[in-house]
Amino acid sequence: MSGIASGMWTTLKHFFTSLRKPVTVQYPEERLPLAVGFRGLPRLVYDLQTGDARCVACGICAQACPVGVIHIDSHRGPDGRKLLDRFDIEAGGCVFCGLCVEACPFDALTMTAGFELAAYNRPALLWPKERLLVPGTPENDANMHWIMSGVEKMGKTPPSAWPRAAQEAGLMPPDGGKPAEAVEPGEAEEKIPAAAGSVSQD
Amino acid sequence: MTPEPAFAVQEEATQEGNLLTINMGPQHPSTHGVFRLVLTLDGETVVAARPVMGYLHRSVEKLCESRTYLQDVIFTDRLDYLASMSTNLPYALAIEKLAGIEVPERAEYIRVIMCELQRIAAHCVAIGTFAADVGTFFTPLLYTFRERERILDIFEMCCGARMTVSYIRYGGVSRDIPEEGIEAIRRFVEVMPERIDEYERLLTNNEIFIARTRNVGILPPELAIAYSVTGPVLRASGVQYDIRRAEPYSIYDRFDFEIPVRYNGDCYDRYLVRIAEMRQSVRIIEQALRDLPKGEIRAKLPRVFRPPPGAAYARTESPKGELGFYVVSDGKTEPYRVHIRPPSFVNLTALAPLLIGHKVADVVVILGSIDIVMGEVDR
Repeated sequence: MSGIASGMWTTLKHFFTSLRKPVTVQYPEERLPLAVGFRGLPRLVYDLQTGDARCVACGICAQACPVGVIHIDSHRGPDGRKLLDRFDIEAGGCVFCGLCVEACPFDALTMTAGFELAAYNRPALLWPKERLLVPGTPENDANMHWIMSGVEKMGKTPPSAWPRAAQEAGLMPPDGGKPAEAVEPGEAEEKIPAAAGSVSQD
Repeated sequence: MTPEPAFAVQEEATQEGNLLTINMGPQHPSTHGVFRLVLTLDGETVVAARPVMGYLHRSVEKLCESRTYLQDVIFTDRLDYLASMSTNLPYALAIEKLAGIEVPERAEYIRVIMCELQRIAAHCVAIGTFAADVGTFFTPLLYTFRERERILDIFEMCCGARMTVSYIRYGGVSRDIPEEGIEAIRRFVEVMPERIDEYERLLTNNEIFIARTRNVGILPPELAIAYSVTGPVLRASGVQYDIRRAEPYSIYDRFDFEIPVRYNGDCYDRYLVRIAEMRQSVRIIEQALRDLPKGEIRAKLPRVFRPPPGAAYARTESPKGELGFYVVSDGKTEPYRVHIRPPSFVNLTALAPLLIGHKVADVVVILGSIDIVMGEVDR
């Protein structure tokens, strides 16, 4: 019986020591801090100088994505530069590998702490450019590090998942930019883009 | 048409009634994934068993053919999803063998640290779920998962993800370990030996645990070798074969560690081998941390990676056994063929003879002691 007794003594000791400090985190009221560099949903980096995304629509991220969930449309502007029309990420298909972020030569993509991405319908899982681009100002640029958790800003660990943190900081409207509206099950097929990652330009 | 039972040892029932052919799985809480076992029972005793696999087949090997070598890393995470670092490694080694890439020293040490941490984490799952299968339900499982959580937090610090790490790549590793990561690993190896003692206090001398696992599912060494069983299952049967010693890969020849062996070949010995391997992994991590050099973490590679045509096979000692990747290149950016030799799949072929003569309750214990992950069995 001594083997069973020593096992039960171990669990009994733990019962009393963890009464003082339980390890349970009362999610969603409390959240565990995430590591810096956590790989959540990618987002477009906002360039304070130009007031728009840093992305130049080269399409390297769409090519690097192993599951083809990045969809890019662009056209040539009057000065010959490429202008970004559409930058969609299907959050429902993204595997959060970070290969797009590593591939981007302009540091226009970064991973966030966003993993709480549940939606009520499939089209709402498609994140368009407006949702992926969090606007910044010089004042709130200091707070950006805790919305994103890109490796280049080794600051505090983000307190909670994005975009809720961005909305609470007033950087994003509460409805999250322009999410897709709910559709009837039959209509969903037209609104979802093609299966493979697509880059199209005029 | 009724399927042929494998290893049928008796045609007629010994008791009143008929032989009963019953399905265990694919949805079953104790089959460690979507695994189907067709059992033929004489009363409560198993007289024939036929494993049916393939319920988690995702055609990973075919998918790898239409993606570049770098993009295929994500598939290696999802094969043995409980030991993704250890599955990244042989894929990287095969490509490095193919293209003649030399990995920097710091990356080699980081790889060893990560793989040994992953071995501890995978054995935490194996021992915890094995104890749960035996009947202790959740208590040892949550104790081992407490340490596994610390390891997963270390992985999150180093590469951003807990389970699908995509960390060990051809040429090195993807990110350097931050300072708090090194601190976390150091604190972890200080605490781990006494935690392993705690698991042993719960299980090793527990009379009920011993009664359910001793002399259950004995695998004789000749049969183990005949079935190409590898890993802790083989070492529990008395064969001291570990690829880290037999054919050292990476820098394992620089470390001082033992290969634990047991000689009875039953489920209890497999549990003891895994406990001992966790202790040896802690030793390896301590040595690697002490000798970790500074430097680059990735070899310089061209932006568009095209290995020369050819084929390479790299095998490593994953927590479950010999894991091998066979990569064939035809000079393009995508591999021509990637074939995976999974340890769980080959170890499962030895399951049917182990089950004959045991009771249904022992089926769960034996399956748990072999430690399979259907992600790599079915690919």
